[in-house]
Amino acid sequence: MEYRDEAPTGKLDLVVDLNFRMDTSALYSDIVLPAATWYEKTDLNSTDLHTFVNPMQAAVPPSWESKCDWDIYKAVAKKVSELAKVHLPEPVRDVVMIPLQHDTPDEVTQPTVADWKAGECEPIPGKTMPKFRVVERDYTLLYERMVTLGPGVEENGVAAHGLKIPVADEYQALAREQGRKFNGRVYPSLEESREVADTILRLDPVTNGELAYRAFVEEEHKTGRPLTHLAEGTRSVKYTFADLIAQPRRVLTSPTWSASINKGRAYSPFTLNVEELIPWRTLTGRQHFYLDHELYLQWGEHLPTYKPRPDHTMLDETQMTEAEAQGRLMNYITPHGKWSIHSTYSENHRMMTLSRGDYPIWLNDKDAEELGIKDNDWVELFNDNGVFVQRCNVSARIPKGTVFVYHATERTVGIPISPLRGKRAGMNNSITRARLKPVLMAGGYAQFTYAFNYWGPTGVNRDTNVFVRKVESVEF
Amino acid sequence: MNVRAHMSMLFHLDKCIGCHTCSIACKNLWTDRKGAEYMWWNNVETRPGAGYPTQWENQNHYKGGWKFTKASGYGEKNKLELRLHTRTGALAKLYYNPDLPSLEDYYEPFTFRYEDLFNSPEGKDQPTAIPISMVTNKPLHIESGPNWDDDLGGSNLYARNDPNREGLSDEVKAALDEVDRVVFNYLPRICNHCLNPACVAACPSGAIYKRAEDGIVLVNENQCRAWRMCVAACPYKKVYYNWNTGKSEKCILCFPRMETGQAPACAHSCVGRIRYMGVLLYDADRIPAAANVPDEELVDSFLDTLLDPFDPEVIAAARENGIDDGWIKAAQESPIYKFVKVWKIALPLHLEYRTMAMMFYIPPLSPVMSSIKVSSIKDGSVRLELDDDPQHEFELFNNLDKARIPVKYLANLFSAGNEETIRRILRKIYAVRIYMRRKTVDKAIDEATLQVLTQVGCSPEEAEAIYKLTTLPTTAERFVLPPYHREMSVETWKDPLAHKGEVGVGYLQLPQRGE
Repeated sequence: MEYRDEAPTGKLDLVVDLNFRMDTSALYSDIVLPAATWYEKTDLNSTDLHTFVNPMQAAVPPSWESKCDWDIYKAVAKKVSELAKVHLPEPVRDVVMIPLQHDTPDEVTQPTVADWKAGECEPIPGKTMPKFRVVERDYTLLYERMVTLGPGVEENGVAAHGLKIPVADEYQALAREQGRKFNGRVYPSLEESREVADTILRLDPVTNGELAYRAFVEEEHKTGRPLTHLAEGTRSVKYTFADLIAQPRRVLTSPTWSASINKGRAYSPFTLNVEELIPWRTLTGRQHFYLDHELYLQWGEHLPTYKPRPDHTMLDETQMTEAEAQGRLMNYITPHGKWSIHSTYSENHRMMTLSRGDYPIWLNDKDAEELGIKDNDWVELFNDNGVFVQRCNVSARIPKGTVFVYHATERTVGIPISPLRGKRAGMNNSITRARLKPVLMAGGYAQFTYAFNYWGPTGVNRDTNVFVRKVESVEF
Repeated sequence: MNVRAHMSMLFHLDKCIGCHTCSIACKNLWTDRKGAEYMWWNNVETRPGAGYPTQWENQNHYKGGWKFTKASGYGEKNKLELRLHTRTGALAKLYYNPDLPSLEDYYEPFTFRYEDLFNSPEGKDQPTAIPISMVTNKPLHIESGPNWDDDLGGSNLYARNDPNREGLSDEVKAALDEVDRVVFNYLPRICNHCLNPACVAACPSGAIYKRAEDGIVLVNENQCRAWRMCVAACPYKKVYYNWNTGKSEKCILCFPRMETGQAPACAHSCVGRIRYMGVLLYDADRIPAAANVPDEELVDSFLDTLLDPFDPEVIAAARENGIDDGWIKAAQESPIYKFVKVWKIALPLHLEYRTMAMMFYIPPLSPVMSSIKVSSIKDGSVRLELDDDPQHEFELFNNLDKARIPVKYLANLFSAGNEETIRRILRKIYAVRIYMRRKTVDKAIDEATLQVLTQVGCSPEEAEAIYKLTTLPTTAERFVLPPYHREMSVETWKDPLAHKGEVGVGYLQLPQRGE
């Protein structure tokens, strides 16, 4: 690992935001494209918090010029296609690098991970380094290709969890039911958002029982275990968007997830592994406590063991501020908010009325007393990363030594000028720093090989240390 | 026997997560209007706390509810009068009503100048939407709100001054103020649609009435003359004055929803599913006597006004009074009846106000003050001893004083200070919990567990029924709504005010008053 003292600096060329609120992202965007809300569009909604697929329908049309996300992307694609006729009339070939992939033979191409860039091993694409593909892009056809489902799906099927599920017949059925002519052939159309929703429902094993059955056939082939019985009862089920409108539907049992939920059983992860003896998707096929990837060994993370709390100087986020600091250094934590799903609607005046009309800084009553802070006083939190200024909520429920702000605040309402720094104060994450945990960037070996939305760097801890001080008055 | 039907709501406080979805549902439906900004017909308070409006329970200050005077000698009778004023005093005070909550007791409604985010000129810094008053539209330093002390916010100022801490020992009070001992629960509140409503009694215009068919207390907006005596007289501070229309307003128990077979919006939207709706039958003739007893007799006298819907005499009397069979059936299936009368684990809020509130609460359980012992401190590390004594779960059952929420505190809220009533209820809920735990975890009921049930006078069947209605009820079991016969209701064909005397308060204020 090589640390660089100076991080690269600069400004993003162009920030385009699809939004239905003038939120903090919108304030900092070059272009805001008005988006339809959940009640103004056709869409699917699902989550891993429950096992239902819910439809979204337009109760009213999108307000003013706003459009649903799909239509906005389409409009952009259409414009690009139009401009490409002048600027990129010929097909362009790109080299695309593809990381070694999870749930494929890539997982076992190398017994140890060495760095080909550093000359530690011979660079062999697909073995010791990523694979390369040449992709041809015809920007004049961008729009037409976006609104049709390409033949790759028909040929290759859909894949998840290392299972390749044939879908040619479903693809052809879609082409018949919602066909769109392009280049003299009829493809499944993805022009309307409802067509996209129906395509997803048709091609996903959890909403198409026949595909769940085929996925289990594949899994039987891989594991030698009898499994298709899990999908026999729902083999004829095929949810359409119209079905969901009548009533949200529960997903089907499929090996692309890890639980049997037949006969109304609640989803409980890995029951398929435990009960049906499908191996876990790890190197050994079992659950791992010991992780022998080089990076894990280097960081001492190969076994879950006790780690001491990092000293504030280790975080390196308070040393510069120490000189200007008046106030006390305290722990800063940002737990989930009480009345917001992340930031959405948290600064709506009604939700603000349920709280204190701001994003309160919670302090223990004895700490507050020592700092000369009274309930509802203005308080400034600051460190090397930034500054946060709001009113204080003094409470005996907060542990001593800790300052607490519910996370994902907006920077839109009632943010004063920081008396210390002379500029508009920030939001709750202005005083934290995004830290990537290095082991989450491990790859190229066993279950650590990359998979989109499965394995890669994730959100990080947002706790730090801040100086806390009272401010007499603020200006906006 | 003068049988009436009443729609009541019940709040299972153990299930309330304090999300305020009820408040928002109500606000969006009914009070999203000019002049109604500060009205929270439904609100949720953190307890201990000051409530909304602040310290509303301090009747020395607000003068709400009824004042009880015990007969002092032979031949004397117990006396009940409004705390606000006597009947003659009312006349003298007609143009002077000093006991109203002020804007400071509520809050100055605020919003933000959101348009500045769109329209601000280019500047050195990004724009911000500053807080402004919804009354004056001028910039505002926000100093209070309808839920200002949520989750013990400002606990030194608010939780510490909760009027219900009265009677707690200094040690317990001090413990409640410490981070490792603090405890709180939520208290959702709507209008209590009282049997003996002080707002109705105090109204000089006769504009407030209690509907005969379901007991909902309503303000006739045409009749209201803005005296605001109702605002002062209501001990729960659930009548609000609309500064824009010059009329008083209050929770209407979503009667337009109930008349179409839907539960009130607050109950319908409840995330924790803590709310139950159902019919209670009561004897209007018993009300005067029931409210006119000393504190220690209040719970029993109040429960005695509620009738058994299976009793043939009650059924006959109900029919006599024109109560529809559908309502009698709903009363028999009422979850409120079960919790309040059959299982006796629910009480109304502040019975000592003697308005005979008809919304009910199941008091919350709470964890023990401390159950983990530090056994040794070696090398700077603390070893915790986890208690695996199977009798441990009986600990609270046998000694409720170890519960974090002081029994006295709950007694001040729900049983006019009577701790025994609260102990009986909490022990019964604990007994059900112990029984169900044995059944689901150990798969066997031992003798000790059966004894626990016997001690609280609860059969295994009853324990199962309490468990089921508490944890697993369907929507239809939680909301047992009677068939509303609008064709039979008084408003559609007569002036309801003419029927005021037929409701519970008629004995105090004659129906011809006011008109």
